[in-house]
Amino acid sequence: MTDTSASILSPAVARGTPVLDVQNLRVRFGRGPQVVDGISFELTAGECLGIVGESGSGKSVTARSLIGLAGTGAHVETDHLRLGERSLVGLRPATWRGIRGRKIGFILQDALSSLDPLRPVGREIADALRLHTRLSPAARGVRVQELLTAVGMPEPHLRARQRSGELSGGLRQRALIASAIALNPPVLIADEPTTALDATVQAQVLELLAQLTASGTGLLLISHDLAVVKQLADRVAVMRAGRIVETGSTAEILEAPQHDYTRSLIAAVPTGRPRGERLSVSSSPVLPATTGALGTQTRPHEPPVAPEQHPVLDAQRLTKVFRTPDRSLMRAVDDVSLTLHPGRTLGLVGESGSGKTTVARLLLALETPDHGTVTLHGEPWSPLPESARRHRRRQMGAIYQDPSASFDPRLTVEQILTDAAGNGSGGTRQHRTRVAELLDSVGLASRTRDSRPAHLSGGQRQRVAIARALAPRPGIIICDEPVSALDVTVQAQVLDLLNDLQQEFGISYLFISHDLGVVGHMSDSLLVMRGGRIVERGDTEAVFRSPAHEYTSRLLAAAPRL
Amino acid sequence: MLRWLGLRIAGGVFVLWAVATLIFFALRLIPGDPAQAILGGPGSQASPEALAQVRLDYGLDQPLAAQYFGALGRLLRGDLGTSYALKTDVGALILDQFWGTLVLTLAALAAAWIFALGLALWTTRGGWLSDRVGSGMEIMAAAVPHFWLASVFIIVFSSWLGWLPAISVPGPIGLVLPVLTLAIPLAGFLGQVMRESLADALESPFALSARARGESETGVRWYHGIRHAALPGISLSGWAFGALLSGAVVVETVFARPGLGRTLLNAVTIRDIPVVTGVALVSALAFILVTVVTDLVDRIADPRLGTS
Repeated sequence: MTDTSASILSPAVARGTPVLDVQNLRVRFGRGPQVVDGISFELTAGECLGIVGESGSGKSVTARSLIGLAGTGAHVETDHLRLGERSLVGLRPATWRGIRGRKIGFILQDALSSLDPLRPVGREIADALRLHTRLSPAARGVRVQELLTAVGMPEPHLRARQRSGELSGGLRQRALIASAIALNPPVLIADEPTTALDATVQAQVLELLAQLTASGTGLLLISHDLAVVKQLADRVAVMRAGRIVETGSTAEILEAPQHDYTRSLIAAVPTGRPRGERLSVSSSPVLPATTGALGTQTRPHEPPVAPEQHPVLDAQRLTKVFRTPDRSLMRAVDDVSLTLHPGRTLGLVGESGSGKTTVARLLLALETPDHGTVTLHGEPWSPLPESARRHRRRQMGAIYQDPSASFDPRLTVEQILTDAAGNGSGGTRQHRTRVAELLDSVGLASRTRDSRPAHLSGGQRQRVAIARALAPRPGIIICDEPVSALDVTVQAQVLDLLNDLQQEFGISYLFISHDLGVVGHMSDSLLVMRGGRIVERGDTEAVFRSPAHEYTSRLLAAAPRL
Repeated sequence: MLRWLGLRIAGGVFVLWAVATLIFFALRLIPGDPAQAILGGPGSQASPEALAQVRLDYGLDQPLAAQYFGALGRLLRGDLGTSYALKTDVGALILDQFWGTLVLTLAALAAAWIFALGLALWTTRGGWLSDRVGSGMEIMAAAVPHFWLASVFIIVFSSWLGWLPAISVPGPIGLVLPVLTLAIPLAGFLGQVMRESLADALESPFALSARARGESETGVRWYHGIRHAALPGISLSGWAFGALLSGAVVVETVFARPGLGRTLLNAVTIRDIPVVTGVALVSALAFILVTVVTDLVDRIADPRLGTS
């Protein structure tokens, strides 16, 4: 960090002084249960406290309660809540507004929706200055440039005039951080600041937050992912169901976790974990009976079918060119060849925009390649007229990132599965048996059959999506970012489930993800994609041990691990 | 942007041609002799010689195709023909009446915007009750027909209270009731879409970010909410202008206000074909212009439209 940015970013509080002190915070909505059930913590200047827990544990409500924005109908009670020497209990709205942004900065997840899509990011940053300073508009503009420079934004004068939708994920997250630190608040709350970002971008954003704590800001870092929190936090509080179940220094938590839940969070991180090792703790009541109680022990991964057999799916020199809105041509997929062997998993890793999803769509024959061919079980598959292909579509399934968008919201789980299994409209005993079988194999309770996807949790929904993909008994499943929208603990369960199903049914997976840690844990062999091209391929272990391409090394370095 | 504007203008010219063609042939399908209409209708008992003379004068004896291209050629020169009944130039007649209608519709559009935005801002301020009340008011307003609203206004404000004239008089005072009559149903429509997108914007993560920055509720509305609320309203305004033009026919008649709408109604009644054609063409032109302008404003208000 340069000298100028250091002076811009450092709040006027000496390191080690308490900046935030929360005693027995309790929050509930209306007459509902306590969402936050008596939590206490302290934050000092220059310190990073990580709060870790899965969705619904009350992390975000805690964060919002600290700035008096818990939401409509929230009842917030504390024994005390202090910002430095000052109590934050029972403040008038105008007083709260003077604290938000000036004393406590707040960074939300996903800057695309957390910055107004209609306004230039520079205006959003200048707003904080307009609200809390008497700077003239011109002086605000100068300060915005300084802030953007300080958060490492290239060409700040240009970027300030762009809207969040025109910036890449990393740049707009920087802009959001700049708007939160515009007034040098002594406390910064970051709620999942890197979720939805690619690993390399995530590493850059975490580095920026580390600079802020180094210059004396007290940082409250909230995440579902222990591997992310570990990078920054001096201390970690593990939160579950509205309570802090364990707290301690980061090293203590990671090396000697006392609580089962903390252990399951640690076990769930896939990076650097060999193929076949289980990530989820199998005491979970929804696990299928077929997997048995394996715990976290290592199970050697043996492909049920010998790899010498003919490939199930073979793509040769696929190319797909799209016309962008400004009428130039973009080679989304450029000369990509890949081979999927029976019962094996081929990993495809790359950052957003690298062309991974287009590859998936070409393999599923949802797009026609401009060049190249796809062969399924030794027979031509694409390009081919759809009529010649439709009867074989059942041989290939697909699982996507956002299952809720891929379900008809009016259908029940049973209807979704019956529909996917094909042959007839359902209702017969045969259909009911098949639905029961499918639910059992993905570890869902049989009462789920009458639910609608909207009423299920994210993990349950993804299990339904997997059951739907399994329904026509395909030999191949294309998994496109199947766990990217899930918490690490739920991700661990879903990854274990996919591995169990492969063992049981000998399914071949093409596993696509931006997360090298996940792909590395899941795959037998690996493709690294960048800018539409495959830049590296090989056996997963070999690639991890000695990456040949510089880009792969960078991905490896950026993957959060424990 | 220029390319887009060029395409829009070319599209507009095509629509105008289509409207002219459609009207030309549709009016030929109406039973009755145009020459008879020119001489004052069937009741006038015109002599066969007079009819023949009129057919010759107006070119009605020529083949249909020749008449059509003749009419198109005159249109290109800006000549809308001569009124059968008034025997005056249709262009001048329309120009004379056009401003009254334009002022009426634009004022109604502006009033509808103010009502809709005000209602949206007010209802999202309060809780559940004001939201229900606002939504109910919008549905009622949108469902009310112009003629009924006009009659009620005349009874209440002219007959009972005597505040405002029932017959339109020159000046702003005469404009109040006609504008309100047109604006209220439109405000109901606009209000529904604006309130919904305003509520969405106020619930969105960027609004939370703004509040976390120290922005007040009024500030969140002013700097973030209004623009998001206005977007669907702007998109609808082109359509709304067209609806107002047709609404003007009723309103101008009820309030005995001179304007295009009333001119059109009279012309249809006495089958004054050049006037009907002229009013339809000018309305189409105005509608096309307003649509291009609203699309342009839409792009300025929502810069995302330009890039994707």
